[in-house]
Amino acid sequence: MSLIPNPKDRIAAGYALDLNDSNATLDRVEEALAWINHSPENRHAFERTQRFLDACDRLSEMPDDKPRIVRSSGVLIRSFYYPLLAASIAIFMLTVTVMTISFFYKRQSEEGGVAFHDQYATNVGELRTLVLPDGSSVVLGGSSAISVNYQKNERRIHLMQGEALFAVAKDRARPFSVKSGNGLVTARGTEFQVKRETKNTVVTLVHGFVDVTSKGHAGEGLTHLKPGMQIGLADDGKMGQPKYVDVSRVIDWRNGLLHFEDTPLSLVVADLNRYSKRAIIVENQNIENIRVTGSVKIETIGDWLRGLATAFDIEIDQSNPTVIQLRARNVSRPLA
Amino acid sequence: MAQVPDDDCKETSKVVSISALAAVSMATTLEETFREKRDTLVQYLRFRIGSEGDAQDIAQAAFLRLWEKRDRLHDKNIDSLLFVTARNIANDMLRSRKRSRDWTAEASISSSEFSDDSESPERIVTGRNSLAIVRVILAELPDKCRTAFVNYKFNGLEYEEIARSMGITESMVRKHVLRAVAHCAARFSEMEEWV
Repeated sequence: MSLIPNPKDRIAAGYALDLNDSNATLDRVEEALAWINHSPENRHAFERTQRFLDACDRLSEMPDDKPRIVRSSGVLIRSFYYPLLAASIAIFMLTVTVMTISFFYKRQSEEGGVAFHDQYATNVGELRTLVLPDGSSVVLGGSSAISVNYQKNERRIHLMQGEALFAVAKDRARPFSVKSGNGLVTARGTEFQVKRETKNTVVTLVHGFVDVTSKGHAGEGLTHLKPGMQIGLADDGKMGQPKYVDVSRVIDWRNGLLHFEDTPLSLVVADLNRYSKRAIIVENQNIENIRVTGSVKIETIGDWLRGLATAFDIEIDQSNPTVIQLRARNVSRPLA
Repeated sequence: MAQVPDDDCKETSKVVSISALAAVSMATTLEETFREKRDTLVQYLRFRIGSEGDAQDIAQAAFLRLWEKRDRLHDKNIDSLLFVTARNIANDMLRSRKRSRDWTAEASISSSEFSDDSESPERIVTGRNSLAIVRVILAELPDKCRTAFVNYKFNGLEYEEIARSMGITESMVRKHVLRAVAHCAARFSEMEEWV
């Protein structure tokens, strides 16, 4: 069998190897693309090569029956996991349009002594740490509200809006529970976060142990979380699957940083609006579902949005000093 | 005089600091670079990843990553930096894709062939035959050529490592791999038409 391929195949092979090289450089890639785009024949030769290399990739994934192939550790690097396109962590996240605030305040104290009631709310952009009478602490995120109701045999919190990180003081006689929507998180000594979204609640356990229950017209459930796990609870009672998340990123809002992974723009904006001085408005529904991955500093939200607008080719209007408007770019308008 | 966005501007001084100016020009440079290189990036990523949507996602994520840390960037080779950022995200994605396929491959071959939704139906149907063809074609290669290629493509070794293990120069390894790919690709498409 002769091994003298025609020149075009040889060039195509060279460029295919360049493109697939994990250390490829921009210069080489641009040269390769220019060659591929130069003529249909070039493109055809390249695609032929690429098909063969793709077939090799599939073959290398077969567990058995490989011709003279020994797997080395080189192809099985397991230490890096980039979850860019992994499924969204919050199964029940729904489009947030309006944040309804319902300050209903119920139940008067039946007993004196250990009983304690109060309500706390933060403004947009405000972070606040509270220490409750039992020594438990709560960090409230921006635009968040809780009511606290302590009785002699229980400690109850109602998260009405926003998110809060709880560090619970141990008290075996008085379970500590947080209600949010139709979800209930019960803890003894532990640290966990509850986040209220428009139609669901997201619970993240930092350390310790919590029971999570949910009850509504569409279902109910009870589960336990292990440290590092997160679960979504829909207001109709349905419960998501607990998943491990990077907790330090989930609670990084305390340090003024919000992280998003493959999150719909509508939810990103709902979160940012709890911190942004200027209200952010998404004007067109068709951009609400753009999936965003990124990290935002709370002090420079407007600035980050400008980058987001460039990345996703959407229009950002900051001409009104009180709002930031995001809108779909008019397709008929030429790109800048 | 460049304008500093009012978000960043402290009222304490009327003099715009040099670092603020640098930040503004870096923002412009980044935006211009992204607009200029976006098509190239997406086309490159599409070849590597196989999906237009993923390619767009990665290009956008790469830009945002640089945008978020642009006050720490130097105004030099921004286009290369953008490219390398996107390339590395693609590398990571390919690794994790491989990892999840390795996982499903434990259960059965068919599940690994059918579980990957990034592959087109056409690829799935022809998948099994093409694997048999690859085996046949590889067997046609001369020993050194095959060893170099198998080590490169299937064992994920670098050219330099292969050169050391085969006792030949790195440029010889590159030649072997190139010849193997050029030959096999031609044979592969020839045989695909037969099957």
